[in-house]
Amino acid sequence: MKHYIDKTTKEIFSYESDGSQDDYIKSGLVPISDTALATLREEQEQARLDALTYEEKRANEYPTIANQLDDLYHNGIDGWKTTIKAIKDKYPKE
Amino acid sequence: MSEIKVNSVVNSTGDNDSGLDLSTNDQVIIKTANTTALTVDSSQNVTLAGNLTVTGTATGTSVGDNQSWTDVTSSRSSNTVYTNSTGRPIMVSVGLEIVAGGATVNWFYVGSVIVAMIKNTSAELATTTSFIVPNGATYKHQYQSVAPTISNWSELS
Repeated sequence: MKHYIDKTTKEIFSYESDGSQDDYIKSGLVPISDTALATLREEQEQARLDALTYEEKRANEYPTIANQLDDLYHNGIDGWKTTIKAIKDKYPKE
Repeated sequence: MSEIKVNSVVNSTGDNDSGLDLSTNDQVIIKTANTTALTVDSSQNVTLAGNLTVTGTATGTSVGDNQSWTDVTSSRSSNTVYTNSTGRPIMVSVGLEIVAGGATVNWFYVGSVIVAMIKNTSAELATTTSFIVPNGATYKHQYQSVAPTISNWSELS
């Protein structure tokens, strides 16, 4: 696949590299190299993560319910609280 | 108005294997009530002005006819616009694995229209969604928050 970017919206478009889809390439799109594409994806991914609220960041990092129950069984309530507190401290209330 | 009555129409050197052979014409038009009802152009495209009623079995026209599933996982990514240029509608099937969390929302677009949405709240989620993409339309998967894993992306084309 070959990739293009809309410079205004930063949206990425992908087309067959054999030229069979060249007629479908939107006007105004700019070709982007694989290296630049990888960098752009990383930047967009980081921007998405940075945009999360502290609650969303915590929610995404808390262990699953099953793993929290396992934590409780093996480490007791204090062990479980230690696990949870580390995440709360990592993402303090804003 | 003159009228020609013949059993067949062939060109001057034809082998009589066709009922109508207007090889030098750019198009063939059939009119009813002095209005074009059917047009066959030089690219063999057929255009009907009215409705098409099929009393027999129509083949090669439905999604799936003469099409096959292809695993395109390795050439597909989230947040990237793809185009159906196959000349026919295609079906897209995408499997996602989403981590536990409270913020992940996934949308599937055909053009600018959301045709499927998947949101998970607190549990891990593995799911598959499918949708049809008309010929010439674009399609993409977009997500908010943490990236899901695309476990498989297959297309019937």
